[in-house]
Amino acid sequence: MKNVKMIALICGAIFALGFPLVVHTSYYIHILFMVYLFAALGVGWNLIGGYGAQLSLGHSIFFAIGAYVPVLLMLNFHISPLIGGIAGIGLALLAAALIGLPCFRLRGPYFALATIAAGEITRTLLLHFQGVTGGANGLPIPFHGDDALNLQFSTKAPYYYLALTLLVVVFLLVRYLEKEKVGLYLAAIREDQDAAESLGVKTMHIKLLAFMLSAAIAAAGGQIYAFTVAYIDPDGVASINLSIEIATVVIVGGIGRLWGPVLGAAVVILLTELTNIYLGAMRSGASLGMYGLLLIIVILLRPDGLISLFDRFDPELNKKGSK
Amino acid sequence: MGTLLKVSNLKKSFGGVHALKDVSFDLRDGEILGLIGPNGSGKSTFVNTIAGLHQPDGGEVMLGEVNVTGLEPAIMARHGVARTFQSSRPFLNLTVLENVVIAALLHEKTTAAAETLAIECIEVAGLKDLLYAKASSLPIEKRRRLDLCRTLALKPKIIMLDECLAGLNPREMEEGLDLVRVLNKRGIAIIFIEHVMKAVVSLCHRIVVLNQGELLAEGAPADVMKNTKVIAAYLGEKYIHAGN
Repeated sequence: MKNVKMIALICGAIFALGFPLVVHTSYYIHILFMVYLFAALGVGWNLIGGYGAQLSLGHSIFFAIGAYVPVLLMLNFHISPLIGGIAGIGLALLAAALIGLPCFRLRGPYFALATIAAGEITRTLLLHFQGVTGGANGLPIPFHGDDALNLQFSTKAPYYYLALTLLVVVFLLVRYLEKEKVGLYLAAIREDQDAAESLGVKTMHIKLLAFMLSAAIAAAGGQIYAFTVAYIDPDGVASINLSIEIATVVIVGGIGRLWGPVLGAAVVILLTELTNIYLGAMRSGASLGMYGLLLIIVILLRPDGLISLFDRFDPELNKKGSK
Repeated sequence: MGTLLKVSNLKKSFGGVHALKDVSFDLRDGEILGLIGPNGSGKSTFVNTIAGLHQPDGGEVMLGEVNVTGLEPAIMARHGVARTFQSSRPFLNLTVLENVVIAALLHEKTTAAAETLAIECIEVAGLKDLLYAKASSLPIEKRRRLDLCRTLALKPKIIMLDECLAGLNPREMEEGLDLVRVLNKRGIAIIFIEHVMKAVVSLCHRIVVLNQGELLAEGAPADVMKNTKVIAAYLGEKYIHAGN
């Protein structure tokens, strides 16, 4: 069984690394780019939303910060997005701390509501300060020829590899944390916060830490997205739809499961594209309807997410279950 | 024996209900102290207030020389004050081992070291065959043992057991009492809240009785059981004469 897993992993790696070398249609590359991006966002969101069960519906805040900060720094001060990106991540960390401190005093749905509010405030601020952010018109990033330092490439492939790298790094990080103290403490918080506290778990610290890490990952994703699409606006990078899409990817794939968001992103993004192709006339309404339908189906039939379909093939899970 | 925990004039109200009115007593080193009283007398409020789940409205809790009044639960655990909940609260979707490792991580830096400590505690609690069983699959008796096991992994000075025998049959209750004695022999002082008098009398070195948020009596088990005020609180005035 372990071999089968290994072979699947190697095949996946060869496919992911080789795809842009074989397929040159930028539309297909872009679809896979979106899969990796949302997989990375989902794996990061899972830290707080899945392992810690604190349903954040405000991750667009950090995605937007990650997108706007390096773009603004580049357009206004000619600072390379490699540095601007770090500034974006730093600001996202700060924002997560400022939002988390008051919001984590709330539990369950109240926390989720507070994050929705924070997300809407961010979007409104981006719309309001037109002088800086361009308001509803957004900010186009003018193309001045290939320039790696400014994340400007004439083909889609480099962005594809950037998103893939982000996914791999984030995946390995979360895989490590899952087995460590933080992961166990988050599981304790998910199960029973009061009992966790009684066992010496400083729940506020752990939740903040997970939220901030998760925010930093969203910011990194926002930056890669901004430079790939070369245009950002509040509705594109700061809307509640984005926050919901990140959560949907995880819930559909398997909440609190390492591979869940990866599978979820593949299913959700591909279905979105299919809906856009075949139901394009209805535009965004169709894909939102599709999210709703998908969520209902998964929650009714597979509350543990699509990844649970593979559980029967996992000998380790079965061994522990039967003991 | 020195005083380990000194509670002075502890007060706690919920709206107009005075759940604790000026409760004072000491817990001595290595002691098993029984805390009894009729339903609603303030026993659980007492445990929750000491453990930091509720903020006291007044009074003082001293742990040795340290003032620990109103500290939050996670900090109390660090100070060596552990507790179980009235209804057993294991982390249901985690294994027995994971449940205990989480507690063991309080003092152990790495998960490997925490696992070693956890397995030690699990052996003491007699759950060694169930290391990888999910807590949700355990019957109530094993869940109670798991609760105790988790507190043990915190390396506490004091464990407050809030009706840790509730829901057990007489045989399981005896085994539970034996486990409490084992913990006590390791030098851990215990505050034992229980309704079953036989268990309290056989286990505890000393008993305090709460009634309507007030300290009603304090002393050796046999003496407290004869105390007319205690009998009145539990059974009503007319039983005092019947008892005599």
